[in-house]
Amino acid sequence: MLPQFIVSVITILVVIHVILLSCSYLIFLERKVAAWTQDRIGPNRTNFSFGLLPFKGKHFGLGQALADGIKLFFKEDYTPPQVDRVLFILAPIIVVIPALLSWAVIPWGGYYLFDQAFTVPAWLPLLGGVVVSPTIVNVTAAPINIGVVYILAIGSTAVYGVVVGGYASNNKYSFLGGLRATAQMLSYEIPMALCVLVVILTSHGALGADQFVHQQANGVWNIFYQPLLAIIFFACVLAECNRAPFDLAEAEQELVGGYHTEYSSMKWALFFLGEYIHMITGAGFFTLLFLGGWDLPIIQEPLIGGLGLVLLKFIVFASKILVLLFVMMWIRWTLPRFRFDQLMRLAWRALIPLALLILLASGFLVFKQHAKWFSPWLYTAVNIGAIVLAAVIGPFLPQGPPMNRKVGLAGSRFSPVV
Amino acid sequence: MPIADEDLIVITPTAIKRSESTFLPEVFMGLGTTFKHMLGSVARGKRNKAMEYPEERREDIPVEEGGLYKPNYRGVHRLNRDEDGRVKCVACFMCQTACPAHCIHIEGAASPWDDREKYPIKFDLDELRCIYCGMCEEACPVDAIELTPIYDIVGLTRQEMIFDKEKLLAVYDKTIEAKPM
Ligand code: SF4
Ligand code: SF4
Repeated sequence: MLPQFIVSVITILVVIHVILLSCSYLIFLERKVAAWTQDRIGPNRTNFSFGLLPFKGKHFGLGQALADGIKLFFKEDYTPPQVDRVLFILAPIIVVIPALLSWAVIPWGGYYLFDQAFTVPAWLPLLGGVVVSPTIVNVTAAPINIGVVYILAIGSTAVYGVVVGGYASNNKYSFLGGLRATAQMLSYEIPMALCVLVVILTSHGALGADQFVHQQANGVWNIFYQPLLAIIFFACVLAECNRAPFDLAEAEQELVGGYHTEYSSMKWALFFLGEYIHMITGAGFFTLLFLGGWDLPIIQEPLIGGLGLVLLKFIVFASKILVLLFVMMWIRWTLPRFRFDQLMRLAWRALIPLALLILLASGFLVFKQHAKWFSPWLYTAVNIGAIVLAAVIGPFLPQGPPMNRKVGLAGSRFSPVV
Repeated sequence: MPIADEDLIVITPTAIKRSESTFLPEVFMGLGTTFKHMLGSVARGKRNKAMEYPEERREDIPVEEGGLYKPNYRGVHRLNRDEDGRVKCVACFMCQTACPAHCIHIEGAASPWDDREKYPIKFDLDELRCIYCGMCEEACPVDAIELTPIYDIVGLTRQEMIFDKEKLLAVYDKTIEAKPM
């Protein structure tokens, strides 16, 4: 127990600091990606001098991230008089904390082998003088065996922050943003959970985060078996962390800023940070389920090892997350935002039926997995079949009411009655 | 008043193709397009037309590549001098009358020279109100007021941006090389 405790604490400290610091650089990356997509250059001037320190040169604009942070700190923290003060202050906290909590079960670095016994130095309070015996530990904050369920459960609480923020602001735009967020999150929870269910099924009922990685490390990554499922899951992740094209809750063009209209300074920055932490969590979850966690492609790395291996695995995990984050930004600057009815239609008429279909077919395959003709590539066939089926029967499904109708209000210009 | 039927233009959207109705192919095509742009503009590739302004200026690149065409660029004004270095303006008020933004204010006086009757003792031009339309240049009968290729003027106060006669003449001294009369 004790070795696990020590490793957990170290993991928490390292991960929190590494990721929170990298968050500011994610914002920098986002601005760069935006610039490149739009044929611009992006921030490339700010160095680390901030007009005070003796640093010369441009440093590729890397100082921009810190400058942004400093700016946010020194902005006026204004609380409008009409807000519900307690909830108003609570909301940014509720956004950030669940997002941070989800990292607890992500297996950042596989397993670490304590190969020598050692004694904790006596000057440490509480633990001083205890002997740690050789053992294998999980490099994760909380090695629980229902990790995936935990992430799903914690992830879904994130919407409270948005809703509470929208409600506490006492502002119609914020309120609308909060409402939208609620409906959106509730709808996208379902296909997300279905996707996770399918992966659990096909991974022989694994629930612990590290078990998924195992299975994929020994075989093929799930994304090759379940390509469509991975796309559905990715869409749900985007919707869960309020990312474009699903950022209806903060749609600047319609809702000013949505739920964070009334926020300023660090409170606003917390919302912003929350979004990025959510992205990291979502990308981590995706990596876990579909991209083989810390598994290196092609090379078969040892399962258990010393510090070097743990670091390598951490870097592999982090790079996969980074690639996914890049994809999220890339998508953000490519796709336009959905309209709200389109958003709902996508969830209820496309993602959920497709996920259910895959769940059904995969369930059948799992049931028959000892048959002679069984091969995991049949899952891939199921996925491709599902998308083809959707394209074929889609047009024959009953359509909703026509969109963009002009309703002729009596007395208006468009009225047929004159 | 109801809209007459013949005035209505009814547009029926083109029907969505099968492949489009599943979103995915279109989404991937869109991602491809943006990725092309990303690759084309990372490290100032060929698609990237952005310039790093204070170091790179439009004046310095050829006109065909989007450079600035100096002879007809409409920037800050100048008051031209004649061969003897005197202000060329004859205080006819044509420019003040033509100016749509009402930003020229001239006070004329009897000229000390005998080749003209009047000259401006005061010539104020509010560069902040000016819309740089060039009407003053068109209106001037003696080509005394002209717009120059200078566009990066700054000032700390509004008062500073109201250019008087001396300042406008100074602009002439500065730009006569770049844009001959
Ligand atoms: S450029 Fe146009 S607006 Fe400006 S001073 Fe001349 S006439 Fe007036
Ligand atoms: S139109 Fe020309 S000559 Fe007449 S007042 Fe203006 S600048 Fe002077």
